[in-house]
Amino acid sequence: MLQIFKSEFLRYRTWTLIATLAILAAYAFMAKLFPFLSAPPELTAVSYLLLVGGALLFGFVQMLLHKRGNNWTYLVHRPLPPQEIFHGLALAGCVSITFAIALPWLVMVTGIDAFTTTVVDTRHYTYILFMLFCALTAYLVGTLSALNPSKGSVLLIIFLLMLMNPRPSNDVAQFAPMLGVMGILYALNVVSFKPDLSTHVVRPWVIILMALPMSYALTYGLALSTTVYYHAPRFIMGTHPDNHPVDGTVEYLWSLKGAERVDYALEGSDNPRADYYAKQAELAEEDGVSTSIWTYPRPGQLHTQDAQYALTPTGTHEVWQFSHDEMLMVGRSSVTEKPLGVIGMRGFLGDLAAATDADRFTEVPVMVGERFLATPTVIYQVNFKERRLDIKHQAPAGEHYVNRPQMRDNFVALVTDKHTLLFDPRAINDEYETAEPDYIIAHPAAPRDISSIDTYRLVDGYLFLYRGANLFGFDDPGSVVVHARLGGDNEVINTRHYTVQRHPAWIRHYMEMISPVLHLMDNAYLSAIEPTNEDYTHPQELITRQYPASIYWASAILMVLSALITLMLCRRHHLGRAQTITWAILGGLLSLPAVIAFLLMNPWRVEVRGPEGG
Amino acid sequence: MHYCIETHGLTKRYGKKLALDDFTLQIGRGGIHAIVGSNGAGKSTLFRLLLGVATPTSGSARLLGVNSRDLTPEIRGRVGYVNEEHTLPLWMKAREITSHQRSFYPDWNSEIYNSVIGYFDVDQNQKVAGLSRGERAGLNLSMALAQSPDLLILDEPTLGLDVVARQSFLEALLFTEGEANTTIIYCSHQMEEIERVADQLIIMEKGMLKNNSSPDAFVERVSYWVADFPSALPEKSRIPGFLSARNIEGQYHILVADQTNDFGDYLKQSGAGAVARHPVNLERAVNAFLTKNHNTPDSRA
Repeated sequence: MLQIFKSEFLRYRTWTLIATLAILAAYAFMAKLFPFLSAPPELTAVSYLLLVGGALLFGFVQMLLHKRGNNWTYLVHRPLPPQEIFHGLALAGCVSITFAIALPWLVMVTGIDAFTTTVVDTRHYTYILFMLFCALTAYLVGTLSALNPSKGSVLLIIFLLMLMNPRPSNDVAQFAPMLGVMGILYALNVVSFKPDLSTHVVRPWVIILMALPMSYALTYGLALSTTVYYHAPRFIMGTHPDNHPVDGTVEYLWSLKGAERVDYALEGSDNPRADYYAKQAELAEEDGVSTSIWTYPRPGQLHTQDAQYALTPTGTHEVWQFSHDEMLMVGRSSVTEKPLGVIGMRGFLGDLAAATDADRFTEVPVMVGERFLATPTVIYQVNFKERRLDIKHQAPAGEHYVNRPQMRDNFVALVTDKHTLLFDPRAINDEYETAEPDYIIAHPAAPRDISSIDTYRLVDGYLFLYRGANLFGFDDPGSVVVHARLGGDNEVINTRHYTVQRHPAWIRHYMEMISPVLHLMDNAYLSAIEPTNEDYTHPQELITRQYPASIYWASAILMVLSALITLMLCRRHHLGRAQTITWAILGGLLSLPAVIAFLLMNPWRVEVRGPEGG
Repeated sequence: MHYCIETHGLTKRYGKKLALDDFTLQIGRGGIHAIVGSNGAGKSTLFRLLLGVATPTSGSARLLGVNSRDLTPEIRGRVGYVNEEHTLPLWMKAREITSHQRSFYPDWNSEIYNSVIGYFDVDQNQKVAGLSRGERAGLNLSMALAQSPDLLILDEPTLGLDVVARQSFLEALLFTEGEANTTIIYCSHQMEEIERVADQLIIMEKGMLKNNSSPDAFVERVSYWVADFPSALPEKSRIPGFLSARNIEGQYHILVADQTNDFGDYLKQSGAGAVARHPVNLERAVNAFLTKNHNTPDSRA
């Protein structure tokens, strides 16, 4: 194995060196443009694309070069088990990638750590692991795509979506799935690396490990396919709700502007003052409050997930960064690089050594603007001139903020899990006083069920227009108009249920219909990895939801049909009993995506083979 | 008896194309066995199936007594393989490759390696990419023979080599046959090479086995006749054992297989005037065999 590794590594030695130097040069250039550890999100996204795309391509090309007729025979026809040959090749590929990915980053971070006062945490070093694991995952998908005869192997790149998209709640949730996925991909590669690459995998555990992620990826493909047979035709006919809004649906509000929305939401109201509010809304300034649930930062999270790099008060050269290792804000001068002390929960301290455990933040605050720090329960205000840290606002007992403070022209909004709090911007900007909300409005539904809140500033307060497709429960759209009066008195002006839906049930619940089990597994995994993200539905909730009856019927029929079709396909392909049972179960459980996965994982042309040939 | 190579009803189909058709062959141990066939006859497919890098559509192939689909590292270590491209890692130096290859074979015979590589002018510090085709062929053959294989498969190893390199290659091969007890399967289009080295001649055509005998025995099968035909030659499908016929200056030169001297009588009965039988060499016999089913403008006068 080591000989194979040596030979293969020699092959890519020069390319590895070139890639390492090129990446290092790119990093050095980026460090000139902005603080290196705070790359803009767009640049991070591009670098991920290059990282993943490059590794995928490298893995694919590496194996493709070996696969060519005579090269393949030269490679495998030697007194070594195929697995050992693969270990050697893969080790060389992984080492090359490790050099190219890890070394430049390590050089940069170590350099910044050693020669500047910029905060460098352990997480900046462990970020190497994240990049490396992502690249290696892509690399292994690339090698698998070249080695495995399945036409859908490349779909296993979907693993990266599952690894890179969520914001895991801890390091175990961050890295354990990555290791698991790499283990799966490596095992699939080892099994696929056999003298005759044209033969498809037949072991049940291999079928399961390949078919599951492939089917998962195919659910997205199937969802996209609705464009072809539903969305595009309706667009062409001019009946699509996007270009022909359907009156009577809550989504019709999207097509309306300003006060028209209030008017629409008040339709059919028996409130005698409904007309009055509709007219008031016409004169009102309109704004909005977001109820999107935001995952607050966690200790040790990837620095690329930081919302803001540092607090940099205007007119100074001060840079205050939050150190995850110290759980303190650490200050430095951007000109002299001299330390400026630290900010703890109890205020400013002269230097890091003076900080005690009581000073350290218990939660990672998110930086807002130039002088605010927000945790899920407390908003702090930093007074840099006077070196003071004050609590600007504290969430009511038993409540927490669901997203960051929202600064608007006329108000500052804080949304908790139970209330919307509106503040006078002057109260927030006041450097000494604790801010008290002018308005406290209870949510008519859980924030996750409110798609948005429109606000209309009236002479005596605000009109709040809540709306959502699930406002009154799952699949029960509605809107609520609330008059929030200055002083705390709130009145529900109208509650409107919408019985008409924008899309038919099979489009609204397409994922659940084509593969309820995959939908459940997807949400179970994501909600376990990032429990605070309410875009992911807990399996318990999914199970208790009441879908339209047609969805239950359609999904059941599809599951049964899929099991039967896979069974028939297995017989046609003369698969063994173990494979047939495996595929039939997969077809029954995963439904339609499993049927397509079967077609991708088996030859399209069925050959009749003799007893020793098959 | 254990054969080096044994196939039974071996069939390989690539889509609609039938590369090997019910191919049955046994090759015993020892000697040099030449395999000839026109392009697309199925030689490379046969080697791919024998080495287990392709799976038969039906039938079986065995290498040193083991099913080709279950070749163990131990069996692979006993079978050398040299292809026409002389595939080697281009990025490595000759010395590095030799050392690399030696590590896999416990029975590596440095004496043979040095003897064979001596026929070629290979700079050990040169990268493979910088070696000439002949040098690469020599390096490849040296390493394949140094592995002390029980069976050595050479798939058109002299393809593209110049006269000098080809000469060196054949001398090295003959030296080895004398020194080591290796069965050699030699696939080539060069008849003079085959005439020189082969103990056994295997002819393949369109995926089927057409001959498996010594070259002399094969030449015995083919007879060469020159006849005057005042009128046209009979329909070739009616000529027994017909292989080829050419009209040269009014005389028909006819090659037939498996015919006795009675064939002369047949020609006379078919209207020929003078009839004479001439000796035939291996190249002409093989060419006639291989071109039998290929349409040519002068295949029938």
